[in-house]
Amino acid sequence: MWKGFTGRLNWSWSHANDDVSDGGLRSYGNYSIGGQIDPTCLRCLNYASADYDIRFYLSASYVWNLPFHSRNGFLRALTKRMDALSDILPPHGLSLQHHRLSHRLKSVCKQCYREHSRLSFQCRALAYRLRWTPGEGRPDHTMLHAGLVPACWRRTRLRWYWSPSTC
Amino acid sequence: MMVSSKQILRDIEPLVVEPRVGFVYSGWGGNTVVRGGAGLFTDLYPGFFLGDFTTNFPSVNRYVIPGLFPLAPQMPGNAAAVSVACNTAFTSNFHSGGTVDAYLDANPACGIPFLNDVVQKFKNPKFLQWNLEVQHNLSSSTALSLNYVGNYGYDIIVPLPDLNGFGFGSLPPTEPDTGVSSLFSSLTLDTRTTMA
Repeated sequence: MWKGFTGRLNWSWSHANDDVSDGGLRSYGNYSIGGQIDPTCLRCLNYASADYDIRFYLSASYVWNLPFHSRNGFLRALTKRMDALSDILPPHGLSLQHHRLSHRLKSVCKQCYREHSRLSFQCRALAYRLRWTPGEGRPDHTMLHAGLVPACWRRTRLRWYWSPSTC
Repeated sequence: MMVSSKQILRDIEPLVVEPRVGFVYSGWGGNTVVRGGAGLFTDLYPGFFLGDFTTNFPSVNRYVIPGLFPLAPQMPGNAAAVSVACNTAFTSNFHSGGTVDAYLDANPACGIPFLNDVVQKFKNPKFLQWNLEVQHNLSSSTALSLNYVGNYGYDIIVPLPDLNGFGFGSLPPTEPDTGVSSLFSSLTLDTRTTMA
């Protein structure tokens, strides 16, 4: 019965980093980075996990050379080399990643708020004037020059794609 | 400034060599195979964004003029009339060798036309890829393999809104960093079994 059955299991770990995903020409999600954040240093703030970074990917596939043969010569010839095959994939390979990130997201956001609270009063006042708080949109150049871009922005860049509202 | 040219981009890469090399070694009785390779790949950039470089002043003047203007053409001071007036003023100033400051002083309500440019030589995005795989046959029907794949991208295209934002006023003294890169690493564990 199982003769001719080939099974395959595939597990991948990967990490993709970049300055802008898709060349910055198209947004991968609502929170994709489309251009340079720091006008004086591209890698300083842009370089982080790519929009399409998939950390873990598990897939399986099989090919089954069907063992059924007809007594009819024509049908036997037709089905002799017939295989059943399929790929068993998580949707876009994202489900495992999404599950993992949803757990990490809260801790990342907490860290983001902690760092923000350490900013000087002047900076916080300016942040308020610019209507910006961590987790509610990307900083712009004005904020960058004012020193208002905390390090946590870089770390949260990817995560916003998954669930920005959680912040 | 170059006001006429036979090509949209000043300087492009006419040729990119894409060398590739690979090897296979199975000198341990045939049960273990090592494969590896490396190569350079390149892509041509999408053609649609060249449109930005074909619509620069003084050939094509595009403005953002701040303010609220009537849309109806019969209304005095309508948006079309303001645009035409700004365009006439800018074109006249440009061809007479005037400066941006002189143009803005004379026409404070007008904006400056867009200018899109590229950094020096416009290069094709390039990707260096490599892999190393070890496959071992656990039995006549089962094989296990571990494959490392890496990809380093460079000369990647990115829009830079502050490309010329250096060297004057409170802006940084040096040209902004324009080197865009990417790095991808993956490790794949694969097992395959066949029922005899």
